[in-house]
Amino acid sequence: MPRLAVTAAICAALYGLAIGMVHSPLFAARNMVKLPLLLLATAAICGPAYYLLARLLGARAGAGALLRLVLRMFHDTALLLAALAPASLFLALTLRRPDGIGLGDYPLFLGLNVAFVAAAGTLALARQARGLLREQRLGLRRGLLVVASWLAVTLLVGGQWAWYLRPFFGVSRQDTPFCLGSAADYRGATNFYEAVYHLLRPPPLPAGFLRRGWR
Amino acid sequence: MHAKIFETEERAPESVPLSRAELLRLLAAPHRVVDVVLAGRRRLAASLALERDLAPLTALLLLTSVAAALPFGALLDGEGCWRVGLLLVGSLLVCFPSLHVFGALLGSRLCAAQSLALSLVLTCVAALFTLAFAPILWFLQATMRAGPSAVTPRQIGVLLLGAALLAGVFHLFRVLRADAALRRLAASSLVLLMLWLQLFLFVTYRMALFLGLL
Repeated sequence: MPRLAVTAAICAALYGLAIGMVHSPLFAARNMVKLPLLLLATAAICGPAYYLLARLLGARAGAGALLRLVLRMFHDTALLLAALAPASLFLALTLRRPDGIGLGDYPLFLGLNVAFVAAAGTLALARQARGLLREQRLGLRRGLLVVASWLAVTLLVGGQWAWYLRPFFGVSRQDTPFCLGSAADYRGATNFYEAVYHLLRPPPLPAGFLRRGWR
Repeated sequence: MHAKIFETEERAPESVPLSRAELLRLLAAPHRVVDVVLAGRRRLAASLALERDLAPLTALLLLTSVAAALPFGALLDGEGCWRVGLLLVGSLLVCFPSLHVFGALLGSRLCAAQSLALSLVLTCVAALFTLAFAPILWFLQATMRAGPSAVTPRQIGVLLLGAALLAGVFHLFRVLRADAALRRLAASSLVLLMLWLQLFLFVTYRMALFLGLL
């Protein structure tokens, strides 16, 4: 298990480096710490819930075997992301940078990386789900339920953790702190769930926001 | 006694009732309660069906219901870590007489001890899930700002508590289905159990309001 964790951390750090380069070497260096922290802490915090959910839904293996499966899932995600790191780095170094007039190619970079993370996560999950069905002798319905419940727990914790550790890249200033924590975003959201809520029911923008701009 | 009838049935090793010694050993290794309650549901169901060592089993389920809910309770309500445990067990104690008396009047074949142990499976599993959710709640409290917000850690904590209760309800039915003898016993009171669960969940909601958890 330690080897899986170390490999996942290294792979996540590589991907972090690549996406951080879209902003600056400072952000890239910070991401080399943040990305592994995001993956491994999410796995650790969700571990007990993963175990009980799998047990509730009929998995037979012990805590060690199930947690190894979860770690393999995060390891695969990190490995797939690391494989995409060169492409992401190339895009980061060659895109049209944001300037005083517009955001340049930044929205494209953001969209592509969201797609990269989604693709890596889905593939890793699908691969481990197959293993889960085979090793734990779970039926398809049960196996899918386990995977869906794991996904929900991961989103619950990973979403907030990513929010807390932000920014990973973007158009923020050079003197932005290591992580923004619970500082409010431009709509006033102080946590991930509130930000999602604001996406669904957007509050009015703060007075003078449009005149002031992003910064 | 129904237990006597089912005693003669051939039982596979995974559906042999739990022995008193096994139950007592869990006191020394409480982390194995998960294996007994969640993974070993066939043996748990067999113990319930055959009324084998129900007293230590009931004590174990009750103790787990209270103890496993303590960390989550401490996080959800710093002043009263006992409140979540009380919410689960208190609601059950308030509702249990109705399950038993209605069951007896409507011809349920489950005795009081069986009904009590069976309903404690729900609270025990809910408490185990609160224990698993405690690190998540701690993490949310550590990373989310206190104060006015559209979504607070407390709201998510209450949501997790609800999810834990639903897991308990889900597992209760899994245990009922796990053993043919128990299934036959409970068949007569399945509708009652469904209705009683609604009462239990409503009382739990009211109890949560009373205890200041909502």
